[in-house]
Amino acid sequence: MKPQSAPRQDAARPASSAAPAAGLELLGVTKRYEPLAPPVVDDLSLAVKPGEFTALLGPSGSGKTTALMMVAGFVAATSGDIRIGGHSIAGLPPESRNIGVVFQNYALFPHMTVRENIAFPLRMHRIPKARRQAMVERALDLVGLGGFGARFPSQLSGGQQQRVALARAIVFEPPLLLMDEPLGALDKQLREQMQYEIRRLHKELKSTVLYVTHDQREALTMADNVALMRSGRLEQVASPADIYANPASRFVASFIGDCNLLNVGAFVRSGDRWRVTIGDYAGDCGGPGPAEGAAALAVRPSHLVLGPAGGAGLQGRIKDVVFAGESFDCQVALEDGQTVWVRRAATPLEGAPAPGSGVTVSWMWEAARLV
Amino acid sequence: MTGQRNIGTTLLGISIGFLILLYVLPISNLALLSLAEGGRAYREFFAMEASIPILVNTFLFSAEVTFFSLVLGYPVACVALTASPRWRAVILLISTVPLWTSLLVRTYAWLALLGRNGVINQTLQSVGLIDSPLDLSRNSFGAMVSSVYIMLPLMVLTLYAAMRQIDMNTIKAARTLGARRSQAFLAVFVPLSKPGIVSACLLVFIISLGFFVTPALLGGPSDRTFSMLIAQQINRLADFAAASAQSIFFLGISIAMLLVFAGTIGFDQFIGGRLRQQGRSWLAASPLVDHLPLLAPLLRILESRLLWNLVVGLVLLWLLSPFLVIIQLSLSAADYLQFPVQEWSLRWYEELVATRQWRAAGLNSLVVAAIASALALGIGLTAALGLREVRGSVGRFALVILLAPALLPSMIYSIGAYLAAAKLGWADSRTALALAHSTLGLPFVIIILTTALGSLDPNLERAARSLGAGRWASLRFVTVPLLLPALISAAIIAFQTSFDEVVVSLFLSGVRTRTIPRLMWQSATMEVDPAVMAVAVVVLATVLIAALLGYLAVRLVPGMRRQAAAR
Repeated sequence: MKPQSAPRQDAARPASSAAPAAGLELLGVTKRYEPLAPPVVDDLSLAVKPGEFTALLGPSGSGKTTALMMVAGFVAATSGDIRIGGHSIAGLPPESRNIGVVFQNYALFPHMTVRENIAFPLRMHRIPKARRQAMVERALDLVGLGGFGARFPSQLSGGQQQRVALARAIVFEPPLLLMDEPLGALDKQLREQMQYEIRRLHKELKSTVLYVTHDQREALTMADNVALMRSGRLEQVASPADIYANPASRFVASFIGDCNLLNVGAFVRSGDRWRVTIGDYAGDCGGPGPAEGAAALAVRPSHLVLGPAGGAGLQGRIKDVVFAGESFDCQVALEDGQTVWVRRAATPLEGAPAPGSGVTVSWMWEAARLV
Repeated sequence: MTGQRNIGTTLLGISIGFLILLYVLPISNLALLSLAEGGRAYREFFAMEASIPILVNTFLFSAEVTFFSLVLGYPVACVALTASPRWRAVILLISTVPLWTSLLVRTYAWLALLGRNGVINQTLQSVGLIDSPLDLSRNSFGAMVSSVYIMLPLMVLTLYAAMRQIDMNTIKAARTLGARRSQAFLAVFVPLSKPGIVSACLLVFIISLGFFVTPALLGGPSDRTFSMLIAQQINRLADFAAASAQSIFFLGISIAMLLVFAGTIGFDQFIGGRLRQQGRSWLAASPLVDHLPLLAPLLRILESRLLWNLVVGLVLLWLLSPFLVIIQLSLSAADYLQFPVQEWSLRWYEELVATRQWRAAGLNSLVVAAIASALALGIGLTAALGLREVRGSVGRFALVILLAPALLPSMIYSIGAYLAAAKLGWADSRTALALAHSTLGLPFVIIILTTALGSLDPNLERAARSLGAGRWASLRFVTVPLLLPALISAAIIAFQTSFDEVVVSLFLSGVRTRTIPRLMWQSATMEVDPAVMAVAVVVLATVLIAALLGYLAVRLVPGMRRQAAAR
């Protein structure tokens, strides 16, 4: 492939001051490894505005890493175009794309010190030696690793290695930052701390970030926008609050957050809402409606309310109660044979619901979605 | 990247082109030659009474070598697997010591040990156990002992590599499920090691087929192998057409064996791939592992840690013994082989330095080995980088071709190379010898580098690219520095392969380019000469020093140490 556009020199040379963040656009990007096999990435169109943090979320095998590798230039798209700052980067080799990439397991060079690792992109971009040191030290300070420059990666903890990888990816001030499951190798506590750190760095540097993860919590807590992929296709792009409250499909509802999917007895369109009946419990709710086949009502466990038996709602019996710290998760067997989870805040005043007792399960219909 | 694959194909093409030019073409030339006079040579060959028995003998010999190597090698690999890290290192080191030293040195050592006036006979006589010397060499016993000795390291290493892939928790699971140690061993461990056994045995068998040096020096008249038959055509009868026909016939058989190997086991294991676990095992289902009172004593013997250690200790001692003997003999003052040594002196070393012949041979060996290893390293790196990009059946086929020189009988190639060199007017030239040796070192370089490349995180090079390094810069700053330990060991092995090589040198080196092994061979075919013991020690020392330097380089260069530690 030949470079189609984008001045190579300009793209490869960081500006003296912080480079302005550039937007990223994927236009109908498709990747097929074999002509007859289903595409790994299927007609993916996604825009990340300058300075925005977008999480590319999906289960393993959904094509999100392939999409990232196409942006970075390690995998060639079968069709479609990728643009940075409005310029197509198709055909540009990875080293000319000027994108900072944080790899899974960090990919720190084991034969170089931390300082040499971070100076590497500056060397490759022919930044004068005189300026390199200051830039390296600044990057080290930025990730809170001042004083660690002379160590080798193998002498650092996982969290510190993660910071070095970050520093190395931002030191040459790329207008776009890609991260591929960067926190996957860390334990839970460190992961949460690093989530915060990355968030802070993003705010400080105002860079454009595309962040690949399979952890929906990570996507919700970190990103401005969440793009959810499934089998190579984009299911939904929305803000964390929006994608959580208004899932566009049954897959989105079940993948993001915990969700009960209840079989629906009958449903009819009424205006821009749905009139839904389950047993003798009925109400109006929003939602995309069923894509194909039977419809289901998506309700979050925390939106379900337990009341004394015989109230308005669905009748059932508590099968099991799981204590999860801040809440009780109650498994309720409904009379129609379905099972739902109800999450109830654990307060010092109330004890755990007793298994075996009869209850009424109800919800606010505004919080439910027909999918 | 689309470009990546094309570059891989190009790199692979370059390396295979090199091999075709230097290896395949000379052998193909033999095929042409063998057809001269309307295939007279083939008709004569099949009419010859001895040809089929020699072929059968060659197969039987290989099978026996394989069997004994397995019987001795399996316990060593098992004990190495379960030993503490320190002992494991010791066991594996001793198992590989023979591998690091010249084939001729090893063979020569057995000559000194087993000869009529050899160490064993002299010792037994001096103790008074025997009156007249036993016939230990120049017969099947001598050929077998020295051949098994030569193949054992390969057997142990291949078995060990395969056993390391076994999930040892399965053994623990068997124990918790009520199996005795021996039962768990027989019903779980041995069946799981089956792919390793098959692969190691096939490997040893195929390489043994081409044996020439050991049976020629230590075997008797009935231990003729096919390679010896071919050599005889040339040395005694100067019948090149006949030698070519026999070579091509033997080549066909060897290639068939190679394809069997590639088809059943595959070559992936050489480059860091896993062995496939296949089928169920008769052993696991056999009554051997049940609680039968009759077999209880057998199981108890299997559980004796002491017995295992004893067996392995003896095998290791056996592996070391030739070196201990050679070093002593080289320091003897006697004019003939005398053991135990009564008077010590350095006279044989002094004689070596004083003899022009040995000095010239030493220089020849060094120059040839240096050129050959440099070439093998360059082409090997090219091939390894190419193999990484080109996967699937094309890559697998390329691997078979690239590894073939290490597996096919060297006698065939020697004759091909000899005739090609003669045709080009390159007889008695260091360059020709170095080129030929480089093809023999290439497979080992490729195995080492491909394995090392495979264990390299591909994201490291991607990271370099994303950080602005071009293809070349990423190779120079990231890939090559990280491969440095592997590159050094590959260079040493390629160096040693050439430094140690006998068969090709026998044909390609003339008066001016005589190498050390060539000169040793000349003396070895006559009587055991203490001066040659000194040469053997010098050769041994050269290879060990090269290995030590490589090891020190890996240890002392700071970045490389880090990286070795990170592995």
